[in-house]
Amino acid sequence: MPEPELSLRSELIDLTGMSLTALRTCADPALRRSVDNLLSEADDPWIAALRLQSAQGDSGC
Amino acid sequence: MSGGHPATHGLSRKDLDAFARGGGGRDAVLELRSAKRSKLLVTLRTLLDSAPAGAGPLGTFAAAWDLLATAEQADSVSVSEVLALPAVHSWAAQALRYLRGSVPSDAPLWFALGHLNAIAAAAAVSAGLDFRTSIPVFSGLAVLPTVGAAVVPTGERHAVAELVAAHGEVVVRHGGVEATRWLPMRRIRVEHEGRELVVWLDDLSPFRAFGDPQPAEPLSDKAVVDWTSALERAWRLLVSRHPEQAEGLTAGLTALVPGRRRGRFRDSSATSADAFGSVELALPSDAPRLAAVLIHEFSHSKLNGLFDLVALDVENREEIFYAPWRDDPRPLHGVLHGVYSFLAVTDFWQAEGVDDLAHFRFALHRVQTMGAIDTIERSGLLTEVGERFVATMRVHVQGWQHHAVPDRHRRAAEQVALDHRATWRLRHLVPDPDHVAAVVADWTAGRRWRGDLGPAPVVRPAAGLTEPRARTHLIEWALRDPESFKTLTEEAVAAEVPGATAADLCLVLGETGRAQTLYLAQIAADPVGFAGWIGLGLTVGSRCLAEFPELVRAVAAAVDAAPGELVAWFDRE
Repeated sequence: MPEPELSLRSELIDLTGMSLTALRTCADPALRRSVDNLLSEADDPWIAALRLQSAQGDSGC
Repeated sequence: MSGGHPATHGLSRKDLDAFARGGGGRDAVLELRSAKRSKLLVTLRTLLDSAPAGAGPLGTFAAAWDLLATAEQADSVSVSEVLALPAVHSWAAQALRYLRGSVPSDAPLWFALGHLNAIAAAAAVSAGLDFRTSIPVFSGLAVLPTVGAAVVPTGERHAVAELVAAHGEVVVRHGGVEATRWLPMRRIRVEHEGRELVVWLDDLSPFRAFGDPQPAEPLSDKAVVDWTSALERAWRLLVSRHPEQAEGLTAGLTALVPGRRRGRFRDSSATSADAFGSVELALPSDAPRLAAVLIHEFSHSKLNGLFDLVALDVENREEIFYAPWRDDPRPLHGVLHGVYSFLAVTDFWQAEGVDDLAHFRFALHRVQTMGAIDTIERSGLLTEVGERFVATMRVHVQGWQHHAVPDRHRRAAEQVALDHRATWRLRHLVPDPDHVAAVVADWTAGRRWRGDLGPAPVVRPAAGLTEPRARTHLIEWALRDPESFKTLTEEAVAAEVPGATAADLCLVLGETGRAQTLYLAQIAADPVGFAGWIGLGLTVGSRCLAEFPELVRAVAAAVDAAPGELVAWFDRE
């Protein structure tokens, strides 16, 4: 059987096409999961350092 | 969305494989951008839910949201344009960290959260709305992302200005005084053979340079011309010789952030996982180097985009590894980033192989990238998807093996790779003390070296980085500009190349006898320093100093032996 086109599915909600007005009151569980994932990332200084870490040309990555 | 419920972002295995080969076409890159936009919106909603209810000097986060939503209703394209600016993404991620207290901030929270006022005002101005709002002033500038900045000389680092937009006129006031000077946010468009690249030249946004806000450093008109012409030259090169990379850059590169050069011999550039499609860089000296930097940094962006959608490695905060392009030990995640970026850059230099420096860089990155893939594969820290990704990279880099490189460039590259790895070992690895004692006992008793390396040495990151790549810089100089290199003298080398010694110059010039004498003198003067030991190893072609210099140095510290004699003993295995 051929592989499904989007066979690697993330937990990040696809908000394409959703207006800011709709987003303000959106209560979809998928948004809740995305917020929870985001908060666990934002609350972790180790991950913050990893994300912010400069990846620098010839000096290294 | 389908059936009324939002879907989640995903990735096809076909696109994953294309990314793993260093490519990923327009549609695949646009999918990463789309996911980044969703992540930004999730961040904004999280900030909205968590921001303090009380109004600060800039009002409430909710009021700024309302202005942004009103602008979207009037002109959704204007809002999309502002929200696509990478500095807006950097701000949102950092503001959430400030709000949650996970990183320290020297900016007050009202200022950090109030940046949404500036974003909303920029969108509302672009949408042509009539409105009035307060906007933050940072180090004398009230910046409206994508629009520009009003000069507001308050004398304070953080302040508030009033913005009034009516009938197409925008007025910014502070303390009743109207700002009269306006700095535009510039956008560069370059085109070659019908393919266009459009990027912001962001010298204004407070959050353009990742992490804490930075004061604007507005470019002069001449500097903007320089950036534009440099980008035009690099773009011609990319479109004509590296079309797949050009296609990805067209879809995903959105901002260049002018930065400062950190040294004569190192290009300076950076990316952040928070700011997809943004590259902070000092302008390199020529088109190939600028093109290589863009490919390099955009590869980091692509991998950061992938990491939002799929996990390639298992989180491990303890184990750190050798990465051939870093002077310090790195977590596996960092090694993956390096391999991925250098995979694309190595392809670039392979195709550019028209001069000495291109041959050398291709050969160097080839040997380093393949070595780092070995490290990743041995780590045991890949997910199933990660194993597929790295296996695809492995197949791709094997295609480099048969690409011919002139012998002298290949030898120079292998020497630089060996130099870096051995230097790293000497700086960061500590051999097992019991094993050192056993080897010392063998030496003292006049026995032969048994060839037993003992337990794996412990990685103990050395503090205080010095310049450990002086010999590499000398070799690159000799390749790039042999005429000026010939004028370099033993007396002047240290002043010209930080960290370089007369011994290093002799080694690069092929004066090995004198280099050996000078390195032995260096070791006598500084027995624990890394430069003398590794230089000696390169000079005499020592296997022990290439493969386990940390053990040789530890034994040397415990016995009464001439360094050359001890090295010969180890190498006599």
